[in-house]
Amino acid sequence: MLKYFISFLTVIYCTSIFSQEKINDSLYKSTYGIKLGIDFSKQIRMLTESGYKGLVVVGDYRLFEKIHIAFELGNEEKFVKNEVLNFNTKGNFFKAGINYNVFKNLQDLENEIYVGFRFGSSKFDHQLNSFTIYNVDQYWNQNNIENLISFDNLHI
Amino acid sequence: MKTLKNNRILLGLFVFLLSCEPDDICLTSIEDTPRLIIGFYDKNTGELKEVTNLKIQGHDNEEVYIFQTLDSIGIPIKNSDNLTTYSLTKDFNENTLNSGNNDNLHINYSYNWEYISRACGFKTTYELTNLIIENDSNNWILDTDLINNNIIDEKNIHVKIFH
Repeated sequence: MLKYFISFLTVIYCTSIFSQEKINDSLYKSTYGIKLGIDFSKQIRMLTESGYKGLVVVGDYRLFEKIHIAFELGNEEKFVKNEVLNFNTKGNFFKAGINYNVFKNLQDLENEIYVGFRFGSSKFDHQLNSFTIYNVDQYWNQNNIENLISFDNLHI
Repeated sequence: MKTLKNNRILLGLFVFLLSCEPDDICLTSIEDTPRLIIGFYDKNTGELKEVTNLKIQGHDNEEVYIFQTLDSIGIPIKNSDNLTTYSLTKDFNENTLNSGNNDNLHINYSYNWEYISRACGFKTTYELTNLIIENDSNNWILDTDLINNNIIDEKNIHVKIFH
């Protein structure tokens, strides 16, 4: 029984060596190029979160085997209301960066699990609808201010 | 071994992203809208002097702000007006109508709404223009002095009132 088992291991060992050689010798095709898509999480967020609207287009270009140049273009609108603030924000953003694919693909597979970074720039407008003045002393009772104030063309 | 390292990077990234939360609690340590701090001084000696049974009440406000004997007080001023008027009544007696000596104090200022944070909202800071004591036949307030025009905190006295 034991004898049989050892010989079985040897066979496996041999095949593994053979298969490795095969990979080293052969060339296989892999796709490079541009990839486009939309960030679907924004559409899901539009359904689940009231006061939010957004569309984000994402894309990347495969530059090297594991390195992709990535970019995102987006437009978002959000209405925020909490105890002290009530405002609308809308704007556009652009992000660019690099993705590094950490997924070890088997032959012919092109999966991606990547880590990456982005540089971003955005332009947006705020419209403040109403706000509360933080004042512990309520003597004059005029801490709620309904006043439209616009802050346009802000950059980050 | 390499995949293990990569997994750690991913895990670290997740923890980092989860730790980002909006600041939705307004801490009490954050200063709110400052009040106008008034100190009452003796006209002759220039030292702090108590005003006996002082009643402070804002004009157009039915509520009495404070009624006690004191030598300094912070009074709130309006957030979206350039004028707040208070009547300061010395030697007031609760049981007698129109008792004591009443002087009207007009506070002229400009205001600015300042953003604090998402949780605390805004606060108002003020810049004092002047103080006017309405003349009557018997003013108990003899003089005023602006010490600090910018009302941005409550750390120091902004205005001295001499009596």
